[in-house]
Amino acid sequence: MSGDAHTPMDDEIALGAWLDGELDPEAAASLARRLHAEPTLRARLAALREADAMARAAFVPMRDEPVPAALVATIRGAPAAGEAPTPPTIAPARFLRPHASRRWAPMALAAAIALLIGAGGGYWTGLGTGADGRNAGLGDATLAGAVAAGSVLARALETRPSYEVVEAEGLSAMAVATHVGEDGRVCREYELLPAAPSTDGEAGLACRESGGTWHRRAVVALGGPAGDGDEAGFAPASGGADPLARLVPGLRDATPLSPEREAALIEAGWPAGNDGAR
Amino acid sequence: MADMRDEMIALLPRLRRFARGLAGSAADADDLVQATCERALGALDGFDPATRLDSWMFRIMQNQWIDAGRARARRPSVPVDAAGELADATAERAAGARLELDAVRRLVDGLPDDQRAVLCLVAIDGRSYREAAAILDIPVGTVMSRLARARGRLADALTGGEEVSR
Repeated sequence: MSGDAHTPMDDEIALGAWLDGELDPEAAASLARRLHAEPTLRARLAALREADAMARAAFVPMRDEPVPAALVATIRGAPAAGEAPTPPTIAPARFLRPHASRRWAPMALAAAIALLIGAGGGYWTGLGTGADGRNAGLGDATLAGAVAAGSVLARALETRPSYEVVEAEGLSAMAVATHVGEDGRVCREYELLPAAPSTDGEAGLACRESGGTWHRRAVVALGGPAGDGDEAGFAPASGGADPLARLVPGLRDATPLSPEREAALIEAGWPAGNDGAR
Repeated sequence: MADMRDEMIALLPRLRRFARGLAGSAADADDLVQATCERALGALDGFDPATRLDSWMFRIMQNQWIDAGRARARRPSVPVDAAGELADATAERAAGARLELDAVRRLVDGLPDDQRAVLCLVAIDGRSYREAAAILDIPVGTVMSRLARARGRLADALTGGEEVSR
């Protein structure tokens, strides 16, 4: 190209380093003197600067383009090699797609327990040992964890089917399963996540008391995302392996209500005395 | 770990831009970012928290690009017809700045891979020579010479071979 035929490589490099602020003070001073004296060098510097500006203008706006969701999902969803399915330190996950039929891995959930309201100082010592499906130490746990009426969580629990998200006030809430105990009490597993991904969310179990208020019976800090591609790490959506379901008073079968049954109960306003039939 | 994934997500716009510079097309670029993220997630154990995550991921991307290049048939090199591009750019200047930027992208795409990588890191992403050298695993002097060639070709195209003393 004729344009730079007379611009030695060393000069090209020096001019570039000048633009990049990579020249040491001595070399910069020397180049400044030459620029003052040599119009061709000044013109070349201008051309290089223009080239830089054009390149930036052509590519920098890409920063503002929306990032494809698939890329975010790759990072959020794929567990790293050798990583436990849901390490407690991992974090704040966004909800899975609402239709995803996710169940927690019992052991991972147990490991993630940071807070258990009303456990009387105990931990999940009975987890995984109760062949009858009952939790050894927590079955009668109660707590003063009323869900504020009208809150995002209350709305999700009271009015929405499982896996349907309610979003407001910087929070996202959704129920993920509904259980009915032998005494007819309705309890729902839920997730409550802040909009800011840097903050922990919670997963828990809330039961509907007479009078229509929901009370938290158990809360765990919700750790990392449950990867879509990590089905092996999660318990099947049936059987007695669901640790939260074990807290439902009198529950003998941790299988959640069917969507149809759940929808019927929501429609009817959670009528008392339900026998749990599905 | 959680923080790292969040940081990775925060890096995605820059990773995509670097990938766009390396790969040429938007579709290839996102494939490259995808592969880079997967490779990074699989190698988190090897990440030294004392180092910069962005440099580490840029380097993974660069390696991924090189590895992919070994496997794929090399793209036909786009000749940088400087005068032609200039004519295009000049005509398009009247047609709109967006088209002009498209012409610049084509010019960048037409650079040799190794020059383009350096240009993307330094001139576009604003990395230091030392950082670019670490990412690309080449000496700083090589960064400087490749950068000078890349910039020179762009500048030549943009000035269209006119006398530079104007």
